[in-house]
Amino acid sequence: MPRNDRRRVLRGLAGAAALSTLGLPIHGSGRTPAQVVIAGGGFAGASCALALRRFAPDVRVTLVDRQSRFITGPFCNTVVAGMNPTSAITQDHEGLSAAGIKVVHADIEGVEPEAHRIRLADGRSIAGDRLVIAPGIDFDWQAIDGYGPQHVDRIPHAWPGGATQLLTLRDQLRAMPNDGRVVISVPDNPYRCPPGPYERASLIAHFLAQHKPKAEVLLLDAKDHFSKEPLFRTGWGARYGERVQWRGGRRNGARVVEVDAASRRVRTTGGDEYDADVLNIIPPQRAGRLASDAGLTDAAGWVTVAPHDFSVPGHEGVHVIGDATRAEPMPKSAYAANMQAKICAHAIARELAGEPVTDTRMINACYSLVAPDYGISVTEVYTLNGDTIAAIQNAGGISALAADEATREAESDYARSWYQNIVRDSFG
Amino acid sequence: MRYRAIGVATTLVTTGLVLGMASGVANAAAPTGADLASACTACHGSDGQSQGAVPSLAGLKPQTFIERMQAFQNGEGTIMNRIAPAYDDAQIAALAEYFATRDSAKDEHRHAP
Repeated sequence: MPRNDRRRVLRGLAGAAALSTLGLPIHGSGRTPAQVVIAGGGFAGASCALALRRFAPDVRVTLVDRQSRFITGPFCNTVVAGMNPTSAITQDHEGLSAAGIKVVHADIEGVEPEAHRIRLADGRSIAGDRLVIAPGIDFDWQAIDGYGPQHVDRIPHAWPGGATQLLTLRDQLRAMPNDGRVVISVPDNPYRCPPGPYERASLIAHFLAQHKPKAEVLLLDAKDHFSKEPLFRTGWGARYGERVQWRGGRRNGARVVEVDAASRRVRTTGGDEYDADVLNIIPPQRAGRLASDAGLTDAAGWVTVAPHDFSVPGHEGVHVIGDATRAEPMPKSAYAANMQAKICAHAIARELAGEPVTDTRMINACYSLVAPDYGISVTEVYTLNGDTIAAIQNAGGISALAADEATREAESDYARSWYQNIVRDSFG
Repeated sequence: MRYRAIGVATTLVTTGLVLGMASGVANAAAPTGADLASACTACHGSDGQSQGAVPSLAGLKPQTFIERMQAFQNGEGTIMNRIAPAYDDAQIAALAEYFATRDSAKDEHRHAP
């Protein structure tokens, strides 16, 4: 008998009185309630666990994550810019436990899709009727010459990589010369949080305007266009003048291909070299290793899923949600992760109950701060079109370009409210 | 009127997509208000109970909810004017009924940024 099954039996005997009041079988061959095991406790994994409690109260849910505290990507740029302490963006799994989810904090060795099993580094394993994997992203450390995990203390990625990475970048900004230059290297699509690098440049510019009046921010982008581009450009012009500079990948040959960590100098595809006082490299990304190690990723490093339940074709009972998936046109955002988690949980609940899966609406809604009192947003509404996700025409898009300052301020208030609501909706 | 036309066009597009659906949801039932509400609560709060500036939806009278959505379809709002056109009258009615039955009482929150 596998060790986790032994534990389950022991727990079952100890809790026999409680179980009998729930009408669950204690002895004999009666049906035991279905169990879903979830690997990963970020926005996707946590949201899926809570949604399963809501849609399938009889299903037992176990969530495993290596850490008990989670630093959110959303609002991490407010920490970089010194507007918030890390405690403001630190979430935990206590709300999940309170909702009746079994939370296990342990290093995950790997997942076994065929057995629906999560294998822990300490030798334990946890199996269920369904396996949900929410692995997030990993960095492609081969992509940029001279930049690897050994360099992140000097040249942070801060994407977000925990409190230490964010505070390293924040403290480097505080210590930089008054007339210095911040360089941010931005990857090509797809990557986690498409507007994030531009919000980061904005809030760093806000910090510099107050504390380093002659300093500037330079974005070296692998792309020629970016999320909310007209809004960011309008906002930069209105608030920061020439302080924020942007150069595009093909247009200006500005994709960073080489880093000299010692001098903080970067070289681009166009052969240009730039010196930075503070250098922030956001590396290209792929699905987290739990997905790739299990053989679930494609050549580009992402997981193809069936969008009606986020199951992995060819792997029965296995679901992948969040940033690791190919779910275009949905972006890799916290909102999309929360949304996909609910679609997945709802479908699992229906399938376990022998009922048909319902088509429904999906939304993505993301706010960015150009300044603490200047918010902008992008949203899309999606439906299923066969085996693909389709953005509904005549809906969605970015904030009005011609909006007045009062509207920008209102959207900054909505951004803060959005944060409070999505973390509560995801983590309880 | 421009926004009215957009609303009608959206309904037609939506109907076409639903008819065109394939394998995974071939026998799909119409989504309930609770199903549809899953997409709203990351902004408007779990069960429609919002913290902060985004309006709460819990306990709203159905007619109020429907009138607000119609106003958003006609271009009001900062973000809802980009979301409301994706919903037809039946979906809006289902959402209105769902949020009307949510408890509007707010409890303390522990997630302030």
